[in-house]
Amino acid sequence: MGAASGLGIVAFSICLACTPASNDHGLDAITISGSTWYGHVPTLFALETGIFQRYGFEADYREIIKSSDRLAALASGRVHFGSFGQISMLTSLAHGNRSFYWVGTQDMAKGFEGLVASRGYPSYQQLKGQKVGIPFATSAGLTARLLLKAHGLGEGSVEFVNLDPASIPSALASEGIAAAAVWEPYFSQLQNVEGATLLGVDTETIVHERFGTMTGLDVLLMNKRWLDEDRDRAQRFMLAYWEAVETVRKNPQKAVDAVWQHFALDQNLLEAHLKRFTWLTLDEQQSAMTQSRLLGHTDFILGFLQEIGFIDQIPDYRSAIRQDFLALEKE
Amino acid sequence: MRQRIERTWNTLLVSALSLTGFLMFWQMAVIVGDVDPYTLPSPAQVFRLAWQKGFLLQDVLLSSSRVLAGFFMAVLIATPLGLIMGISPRLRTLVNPVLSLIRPLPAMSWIPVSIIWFGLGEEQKYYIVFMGSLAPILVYTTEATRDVDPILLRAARNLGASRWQEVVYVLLPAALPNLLAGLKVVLAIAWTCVISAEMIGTNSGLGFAILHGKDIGGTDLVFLGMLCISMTVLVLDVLFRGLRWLLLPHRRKAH
Repeated sequence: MGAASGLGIVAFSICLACTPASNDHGLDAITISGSTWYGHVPTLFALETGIFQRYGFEADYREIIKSSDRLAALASGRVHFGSFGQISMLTSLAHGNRSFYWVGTQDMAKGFEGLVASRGYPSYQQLKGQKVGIPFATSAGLTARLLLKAHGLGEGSVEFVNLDPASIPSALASEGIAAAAVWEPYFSQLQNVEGATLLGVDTETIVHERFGTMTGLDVLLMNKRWLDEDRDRAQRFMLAYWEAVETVRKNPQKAVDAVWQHFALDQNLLEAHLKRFTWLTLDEQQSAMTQSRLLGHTDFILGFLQEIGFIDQIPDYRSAIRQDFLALEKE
Repeated sequence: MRQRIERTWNTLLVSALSLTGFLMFWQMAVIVGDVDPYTLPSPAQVFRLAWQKGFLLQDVLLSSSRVLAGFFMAVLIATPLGLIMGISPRLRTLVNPVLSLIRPLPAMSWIPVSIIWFGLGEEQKYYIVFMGSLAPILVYTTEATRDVDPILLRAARNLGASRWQEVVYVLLPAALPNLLAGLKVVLAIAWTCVISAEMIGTNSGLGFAILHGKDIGGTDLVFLGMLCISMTVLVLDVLFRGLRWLLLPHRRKAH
């Protein structure tokens, strides 16, 4: 059995290694991973409308719900690009992940996550000693911690339990937890639970107050090896991606028509949410990556992650940023 | 006796050498291959973390208590039921269809309903372990009972034993070796159940430690959690051997 498994793994690895980098039509193969969060809309839009193909790519899309799982796939080299949660990126950098570049930040989606309390807990103070369900090491998890801290409920005042984002609305409905925090589209479901009270959203945290951003950014990461082995290919791909962002920003209705089948949501709700979404384009990348904006924000988040014990040391995240690469994109 | 001690020492020595060799190979592979700690942490890094985190002792104890609670509840119900099923074809016919439905279900599949029924407390974890252990224990007990030589039962009956005496003094002792072997296997299954249960809706235990390690990109914590599971199951295995040694004195020579 052991020998058979070993042979199987070797055979599988050989098959993977033999997978062609470009196909018969001369298109470059790329694997992109995403989830049902709105930050992935540009990718889905480019896939559905053939933008990637027009730029010479045959893109394979893999849905992986959690950023930490997508990061593992990115580190393995089988996924080349995707949008990820900044918190996962920073914690994995702090633990020595050197497999990617931070190549952009495509949106600034504020007000799409928050803390909702179950029936019987209409205020923050009533949450003391109660269970609060959050997906650990995510933006929503940090939003919950920041909101509670701002209302005098520091670490240890409540019992955080780690929940899968999709199961959070049902956990609140069953009253197994007193409150929960999650992002859209689960955030809407959470607020629709009978007797639920919205306690706060990410625009009420200290992060928003200081930097005007959501708690954890959406970050675009590209596999380091994939970028380094062919920069022209990587630049061409990013041009395709930024074109998709531009179109989605200018025409959310068109985006909804193209991608709505990927979301288990009412089309009108998706459209309403996308209209509230702020997209950052290629031209805005360099001005966003400054100390007063995203870099300062990232430093603050790293400090908070260290404070709550998620990381032991602050990683040198700036070395993972490809500003030069973004600048070249602009030329 | 002396030969046995020598054999035991030799086994221990070879095991220690094998383990040391494995760890050295792992450490060298990380250094020579310049592997980043996210992809593969070195054993030295894992042991350093183990030292910092007190070998996750609290999580080990919590997970062990969850395993033992769920497992013993399953033993309490499944062992007597399995014994009766072993001697009663009618009960077997009655229970087997339900058992066939439950047996193939992985412990993970019980998680959504267990959260609805029990919330996110300890009972939910016990329930997952219980459901994961119940059917295998029932099957092992039934089979162990059916494997008992019928001549032994006939002899007891001819000597005037009552049905109750037959079960307690003949059937149970005769089925015990196979039953204990089965329980040892199920105990390992119970560990896989608790790890699954601790990956959802909790903030403690080895399953949580592994999941949290994955979520924060701490592969060293993932390895440490895995190491702790292996060590804990190893300790439980030794305890189980002790139990077997106590309960089966006539088999001591064979081991």
